[in-house]
Amino acid sequence: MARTSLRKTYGKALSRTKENLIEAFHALVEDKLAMSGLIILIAFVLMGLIGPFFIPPPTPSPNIYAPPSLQHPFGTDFQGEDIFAKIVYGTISMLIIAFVTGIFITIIAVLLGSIAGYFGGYVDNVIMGLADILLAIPQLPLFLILAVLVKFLNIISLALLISALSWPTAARAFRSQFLSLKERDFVEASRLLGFNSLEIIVYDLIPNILPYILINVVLNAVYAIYIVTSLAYLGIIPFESNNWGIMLYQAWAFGTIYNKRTFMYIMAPIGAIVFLQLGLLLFSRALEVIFNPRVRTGE
Amino acid sequence: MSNSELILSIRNLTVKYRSRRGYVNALRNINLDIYRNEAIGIVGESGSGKTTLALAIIRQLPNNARIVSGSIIFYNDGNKVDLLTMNYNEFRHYLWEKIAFVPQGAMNSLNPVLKIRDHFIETVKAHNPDASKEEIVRKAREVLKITLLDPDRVLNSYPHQLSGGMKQRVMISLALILNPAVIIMDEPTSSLDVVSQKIILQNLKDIMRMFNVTMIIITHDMGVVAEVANRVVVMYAGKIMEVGDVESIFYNPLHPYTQGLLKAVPKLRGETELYSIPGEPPDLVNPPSGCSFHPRCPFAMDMCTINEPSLKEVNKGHLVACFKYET
Amino acid sequence: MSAKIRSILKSYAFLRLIRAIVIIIVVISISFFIVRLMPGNPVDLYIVYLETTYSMPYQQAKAMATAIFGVNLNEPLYKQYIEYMINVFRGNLGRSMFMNGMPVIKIIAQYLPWTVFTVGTGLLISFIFGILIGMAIAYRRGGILDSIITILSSVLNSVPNYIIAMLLIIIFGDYLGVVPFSMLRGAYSSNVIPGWNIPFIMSVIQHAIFPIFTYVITTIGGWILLMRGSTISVLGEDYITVARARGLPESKIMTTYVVRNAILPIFTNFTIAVAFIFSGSVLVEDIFVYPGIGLRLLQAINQRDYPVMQGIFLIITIAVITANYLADVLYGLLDPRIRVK
Repeated sequence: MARTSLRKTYGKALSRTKENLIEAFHALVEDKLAMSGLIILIAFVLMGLIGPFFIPPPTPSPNIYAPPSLQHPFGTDFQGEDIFAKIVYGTISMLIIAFVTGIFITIIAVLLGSIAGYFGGYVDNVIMGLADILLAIPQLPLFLILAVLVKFLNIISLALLISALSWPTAARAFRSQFLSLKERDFVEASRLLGFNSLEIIVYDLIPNILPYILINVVLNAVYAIYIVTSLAYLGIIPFESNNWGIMLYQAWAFGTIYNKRTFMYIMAPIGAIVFLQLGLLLFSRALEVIFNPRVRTGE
Repeated sequence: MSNSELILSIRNLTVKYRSRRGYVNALRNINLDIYRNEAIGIVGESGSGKTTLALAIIRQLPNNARIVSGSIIFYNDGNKVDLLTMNYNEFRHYLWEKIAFVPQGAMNSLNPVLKIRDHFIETVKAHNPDASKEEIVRKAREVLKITLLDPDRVLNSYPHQLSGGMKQRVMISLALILNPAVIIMDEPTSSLDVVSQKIILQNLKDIMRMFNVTMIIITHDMGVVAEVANRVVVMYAGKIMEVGDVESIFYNPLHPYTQGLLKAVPKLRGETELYSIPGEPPDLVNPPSGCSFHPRCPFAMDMCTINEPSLKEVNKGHLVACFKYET
Repeated sequence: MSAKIRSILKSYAFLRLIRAIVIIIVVISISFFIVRLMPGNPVDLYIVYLETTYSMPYQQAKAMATAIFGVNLNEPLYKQYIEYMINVFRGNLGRSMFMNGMPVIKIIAQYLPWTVFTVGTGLLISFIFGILIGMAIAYRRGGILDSIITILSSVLNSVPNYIIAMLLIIIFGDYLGVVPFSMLRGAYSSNVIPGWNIPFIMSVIQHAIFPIFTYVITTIGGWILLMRGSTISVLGEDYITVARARGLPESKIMTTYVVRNAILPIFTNFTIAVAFIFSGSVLVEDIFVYPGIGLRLLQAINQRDYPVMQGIFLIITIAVITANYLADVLYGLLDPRIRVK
């Protein structure tokens, strides 16, 4: 018995919505919150991708701590660099680390969650025991100590480390989804047809929770931004000079809030972080509206 | 039936639910008299409005429901009261003291964090704050024995420690604790195994024999009706189609829908193939014009699509809403 | 009968205790092996540091490292591990590499109470109010208040805690100028005498109020959303309809039916919340300059004071596990399905 190709299976899982794409689009337009999430996210992506073509890169100048003006919308920092340009140039790396980490966390969580939920028993106990231990360890102190012992060389190694330690919450959720899915008739049917566990997981189970996986990527990206900006603020990420967390640290450390002229110095990174977080959160709602008809009708 | 003293009299009851698609006509102009100490079975497919009728009597309709019109008169020791217009705080004392309700699938009817004992105690205390716990527990033991449960074991158990059938019997016992005049049972046997169903039906018959109680049994199962009811109400699409005593309904069903329902009951002898009524259940947002059953009715006439038949008495105590019997 | 139930209850609490202890042992082991086995591990680095900076002979440097880290470097690794484990359970976490070799446990005893006080109070306030608000809006779901609070909760849930802390200082300290934050550094003012006197207690509260407020704001949204969802699903349960049909007063239904059942699924999130709030204390204490364990950890990290880092990390983790254990036991008391099989 031949299986349809992987591409077909997954194309189908997503095209269930392609058929009523128009309906989903209407629902999205009607849901103001979801729509604004989409718009905020697109705005950040555009800012990160094409901003650097229009805005000159931040360079040190003697004009330090300048107040906001036409030339410098948010003023300049302690080195005379344009704050707005720093925000723009920091966007793409923030988006990359957010989504790369979000995807890594989700991949690990789906893998471990599906293995634990599908096989149960001994394997389940080991994976969930590991999850319990990781959940009990406060993440920031752990990262701080690890950062002293291991040098974080680049974004990807940092993303990998964060994912290796942050998967348990999502894995728990996936595990319970797999637990209920594996009892369903179509899984039983595949088993009787002689497909092995890997085939069942890949062909039957994962396509069923694909929308949920996508939403999870976005929510994990929100978490990644929190961790990365925190670590940058605490001075653990030295390789990113335009990182918003580092800007925040500098503005805070140089006491700029006590000077009305440099008020925007600190408010710019705060605003960027808060808006991106909010945009992602609302974007996850937009994904729910698109993929989950139940949210759409509000039942 | 010799005794024909009224206990509940439902007049012109119309209930609608608000939904995204529009108003669902759950009950349409229901008129029904229920007599003291009878066991009345209300049958119909799911969506026919039978549970809505029960919830309307005990005033526990969900928030999106609206009673458009009608009254439910309760005859209480010679006094007539309208349950629907009564102040809710006053009505609270009618609940369980006068009218008890055992919902469908009683698996989920008990608070999972309370012992069965506490369910009895809090129920009695809500109506009689001075009752002593010993007295309540003594009474609880009596009613538990009626449903053939072991009081020592059950009283100290939490709901999750009991089987589905046992929980259903606990609910029936709990319904008896205040000696109500009316007990409404919503699908008392559905989702139970055959043995539990048998016990429950035996319990209901015992209760009818031992207590002065009116029982309203809501079910889709004609078999249950045949076992315990002495009068039957057939509902379809939020309307009453036929009312009659159990013999008339089973041996001389008048409404085509009732005839279809009876053919759908598996018989011990006779034809092996089960009959099912052709067509689909009606859309209650836009009910069919005229008689709601006409799209599925084998005898439908032109007038059935235009006019709505009203409930008329054909034989003594046997009412039907069908133009076939109007001449 | 009741003795039997009590013994089962005991065994549930006992099983959870075993689990907590196992997790603690695993965490201590991780902490030991990270420090001892990593390439360029702190013990070796310290020996090299003593040798180069103070021209200390190797044997002496090794003896000094042994004293500081609380491990005997002349023993084989597994013996060191066992010794370390015994030391930790005795409360011996080594000595600081600075401060004249002050025992780590003494440093922790000085800083930990402030963190437990602020984090614990914050967690409690946010939990209680989150539960109450979540339940209240679940009762009025679909209303304007419900939508406003639901949106606000998701927003608060997504704003990082250090940003809330900064915004509090920016708004109250700088923009409105009503709170002199530079005076609120430390756990209490220098002009009060620690003890059970009113000026001291007032000062402690004044200094703690903004950190606590930050913890509350950043976690309350999560509790509200969880409790709202949980209450809505409980309100749809049959046993609520039946309780009303039984003529129980609404107040009784709310307390023994809605609250008790809606709160149960929320306990599973306690673990994540406790770890999160302790984690955030590093940032929040840094911003408010509040002398808790998080601030001390940052200081130790900046000084590369490994024994202190290791000790504080262990203590924070043990505090989280302990808090979770207490939540587990409480959960067992509230839910008979867990307690009685």
